[in-house]
Amino acid sequence: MELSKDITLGQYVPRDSVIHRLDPRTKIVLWMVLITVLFFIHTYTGYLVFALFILWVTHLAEIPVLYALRGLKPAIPFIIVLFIIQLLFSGSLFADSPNVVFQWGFVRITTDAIRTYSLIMIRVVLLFLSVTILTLATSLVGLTDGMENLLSIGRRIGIPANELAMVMVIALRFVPTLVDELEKIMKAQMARGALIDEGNFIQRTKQKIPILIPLLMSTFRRAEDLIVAMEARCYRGGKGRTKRRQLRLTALDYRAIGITAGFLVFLMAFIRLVPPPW
Amino acid sequence: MLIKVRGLEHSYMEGTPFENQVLYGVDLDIEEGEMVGLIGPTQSGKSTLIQYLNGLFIPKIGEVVVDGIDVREQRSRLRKLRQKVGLVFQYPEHQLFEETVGKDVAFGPKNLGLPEDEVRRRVDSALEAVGLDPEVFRDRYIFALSGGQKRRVAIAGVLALNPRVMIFDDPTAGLDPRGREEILATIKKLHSEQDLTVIFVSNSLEDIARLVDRLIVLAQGKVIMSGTPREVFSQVKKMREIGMGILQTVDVMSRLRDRGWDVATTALTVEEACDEILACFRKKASGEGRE
Repeated sequence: MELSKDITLGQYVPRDSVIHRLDPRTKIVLWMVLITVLFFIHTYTGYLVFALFILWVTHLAEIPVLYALRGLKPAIPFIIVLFIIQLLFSGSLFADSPNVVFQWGFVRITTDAIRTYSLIMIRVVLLFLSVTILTLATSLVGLTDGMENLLSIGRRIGIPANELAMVMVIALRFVPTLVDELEKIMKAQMARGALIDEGNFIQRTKQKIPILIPLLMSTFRRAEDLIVAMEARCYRGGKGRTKRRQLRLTALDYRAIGITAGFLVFLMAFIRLVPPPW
Repeated sequence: MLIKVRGLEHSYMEGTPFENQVLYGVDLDIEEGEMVGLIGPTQSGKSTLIQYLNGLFIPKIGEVVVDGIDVREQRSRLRKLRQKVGLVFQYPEHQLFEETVGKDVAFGPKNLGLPEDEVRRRVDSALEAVGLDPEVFRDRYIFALSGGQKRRVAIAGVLALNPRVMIFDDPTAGLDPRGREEILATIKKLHSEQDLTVIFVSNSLEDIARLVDRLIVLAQGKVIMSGTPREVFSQVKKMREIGMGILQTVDVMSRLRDRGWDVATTALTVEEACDEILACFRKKASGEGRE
């Protein structure tokens, strides 16, 4: 049993690619723009174009696509179940759709429903892949600095930029650690004959207790250690703190911004030219 | 043969950019009733190896046979295997989750589906075996225990499964000297009184030298030495090469030897070293007396 193999969130793949070398602020902003755009695409071909772009970025970042997608593996059953539930129980939303594929009682599956929910699923996968690429190709320090710098715009209206960035980074940083911890605890309880994922719903829920309680306790233990470590280093937030590594936009960043802008224009035009349903 | 391992390999994070092979063809035999020490520098694959012995990992390359049954063919009976081979992880007290000592120790036997009175009997005997009086400790709250006591409760939790083999992964880590002594004495007692086969993983050469009959040295994912502590610790050069270092006593004795003292270098304990040096003095004195 090895849980960490399937967790890509919070991991960082050190490489020296163009994507890695981009200013983290560029990456964060472009990533937010791309994700926003993702919600305006409503066609298969549109998503295809978007997917090709993301795959190209993945390739540039020298990250194996299969590894980036790996984190999706634990979520696949949920995605499928969600898809089926939506199909089965959303008949009334598509009541006026004439293209019925299957009807039985209140279950009414139309081609429109299939299309809508397929698109949502594709969107979820692409969203996941985009987020993963950002974190896989940006070091934690970079991510913090970038976030803090971007948030500091709002400092005047009382946004604690450093603290917020710190919170986010700690959360991300501890994902792999807690996964390891979880694995250790599961193994320790399995060594005591614990069952995991067997029996009915109530039994399954009960089986989680011997795992969740130690995990919770170790999370608090780690949090306390972290607090002490921060205090010992005189952490007092971002006030009056200067940076050794100054963030500076380079030609590479302007190129990335230009290319992304060009891609977005192309995408919009493409969506116009190839109207729904495809 | 109780445990047989052949050509075992293991990689972590297989198929990711972080792939990391830790075992490169391990061969291992453990006989019934042995007290075996498993040592090796960090990253040598000790903790990985022991997880294969109770079916937490299933071999992809190589084979693991426990009590005549191949682990790969035992998939459906992994719980049986885990009951046979009890594994106490590093910092086992972190896995305690019940309110009271008795309830936590009962977790294992309850998982086996044993009747209530048998569970109670096993809890009591497991607590007794680790040196905690059941009458006193059964209803104690776990958070009220000391670090060493918690660890012994965790060990009792595994013992209550009635295993034939107990594997301890660095059982003295992070304990004060007194806690260490107590744990070591407990393990020794389990071996001699309950006829348990014990596999003892440790980073402390001093602890292990006193305790085990046989030492297995793991380095870079392979077994590179196996023999009595005396045999292994006499390989001073080899031990240094793999970054293990040697016993302090062996170190002192071999330095004395380099300076022309006629002492055996394989003293495993301070007492032994002391006797050896005294004997040397006596020999010298009597030699001078005769002259």
